[in-house]
Amino acid sequence: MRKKFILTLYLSFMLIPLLGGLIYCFLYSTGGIGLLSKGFTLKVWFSVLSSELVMKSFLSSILVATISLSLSVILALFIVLKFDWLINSRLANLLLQIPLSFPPMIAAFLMFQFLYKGGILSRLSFQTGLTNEWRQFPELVNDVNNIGVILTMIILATPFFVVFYLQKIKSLGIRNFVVLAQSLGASYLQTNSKIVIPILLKESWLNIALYWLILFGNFEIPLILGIQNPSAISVLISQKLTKYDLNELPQAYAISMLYILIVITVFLIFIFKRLKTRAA
Amino acid sequence: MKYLSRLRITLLTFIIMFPFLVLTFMSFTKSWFYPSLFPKVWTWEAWQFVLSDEDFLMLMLKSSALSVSVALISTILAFFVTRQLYLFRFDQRIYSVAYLPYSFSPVIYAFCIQFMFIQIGLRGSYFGVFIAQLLISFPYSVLLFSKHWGNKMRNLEAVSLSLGASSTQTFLFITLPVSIRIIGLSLIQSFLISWFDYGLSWVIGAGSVNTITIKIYQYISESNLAFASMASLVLLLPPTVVVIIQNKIWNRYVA
Repeated sequence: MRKKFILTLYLSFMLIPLLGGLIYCFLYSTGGIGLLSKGFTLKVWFSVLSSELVMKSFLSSILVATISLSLSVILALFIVLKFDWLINSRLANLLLQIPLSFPPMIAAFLMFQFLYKGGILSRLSFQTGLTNEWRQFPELVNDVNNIGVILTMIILATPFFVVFYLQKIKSLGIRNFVVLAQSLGASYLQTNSKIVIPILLKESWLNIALYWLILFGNFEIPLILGIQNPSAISVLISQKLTKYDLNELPQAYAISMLYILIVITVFLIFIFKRLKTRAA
Repeated sequence: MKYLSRLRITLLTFIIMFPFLVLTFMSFTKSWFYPSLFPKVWTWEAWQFVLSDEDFLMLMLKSSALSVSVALISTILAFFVTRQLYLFRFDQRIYSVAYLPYSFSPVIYAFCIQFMFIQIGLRGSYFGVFIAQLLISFPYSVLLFSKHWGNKMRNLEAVSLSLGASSTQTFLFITLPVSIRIIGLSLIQSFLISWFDYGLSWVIGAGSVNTITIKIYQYISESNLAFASMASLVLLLPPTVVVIIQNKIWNRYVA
């Protein structure tokens, strides 16, 4: 009895709000509920699925998260392999933890101050004679290529992976493998590409998947540094839900449901892979 | 060699502290126009405000109280729930579900569940934001505790019980002291989740709940550089101290 109670309590806390939200989104987007509801319809869903803006937003969020995360992981691997003194320095380990407590909003705010046309970098380029006026400075924030967003995400994600990889190198004793491989004649490049990097990537795929989901749904960075069309998916949803237009609400909930389904799919893939790894 | 090592650490310290230096610099600026590298007027205005404005001090107090409550409750709940799950010998797979809530964007999650808060009458209240943040921080704490319980703990408790200690004594003098590091980590991490939260506070708070992150966004939207920088530093200070403490805890108990 107590066992069932604990299990129910645990699962309710984890799943009920989510399932409730999912059902609410479904009902609202299909006309089941809502102030302007006229009965069940899939009209909103057809309009959302055929909307170029929505698809562009999803694609843009997926691309930004994937590019930022890939570059962060590559940069983190480069840092831990190139600066191996970081592994044994206690002070360096402490210092590297500090950027982990940097919230996305402040990172985006700082990045904006550096990168906008009248920002710190633009002033520096003017003072050094690289540019003659603010217009000549490239567009790095609120730009079509999301450069500001990607840079900020890289700056936020890289320290996390550096700390993670340093801990893994230590705890798994990867240096012993390196010494062994090199004593058998492997070159520096071979040791890294055949031993260190594969082990670190295998150890971090779970964190990579979770971090991808976090970046995919991030709100604050694209809100401050992104563009309006196409905006990041979280920004698009919040724009539609905070407008005082009741006609936009069913669409917003349909997009939210699509987002939830994407997250659940990625989540199930990673759970499946996790269970498979454990079984192996 | 020692010189090189010092140089490396100094360089790393500078890189890590650079954002803090820039924020401090910007918090003293006024009339800072393009293309000047330095402002025409330096001012203490933002810092005088933070030290004297009652509303801001109250805001800091409320934000701190909210984050401390979230940290305490999610840690206590996670401690006892995961302990029960471990005592009933549930499979580790059960913890996989705990990854789900914080995989979602807090803003979208908040928009999807806000109807429940409206129904219960919690939207626009600190208690509502507290519950919403708990929905994210509790699963996180559960994940932290999930790897804590295992055969080592089971054996320790069995030894204590077999030597004649009561279950209360075993809990107080064995289980709790052994768990103190993970409890500390859970408190710190769930505090940070709540302290940095913007999405849940914004949506569930519905404009009636003010936290430091909401205030910072307000300053950013107003292009109030000095005040946004000052509030950012206020937001960053506790977590930085907490990270250093966390590292000390880690080194003391693990190293």
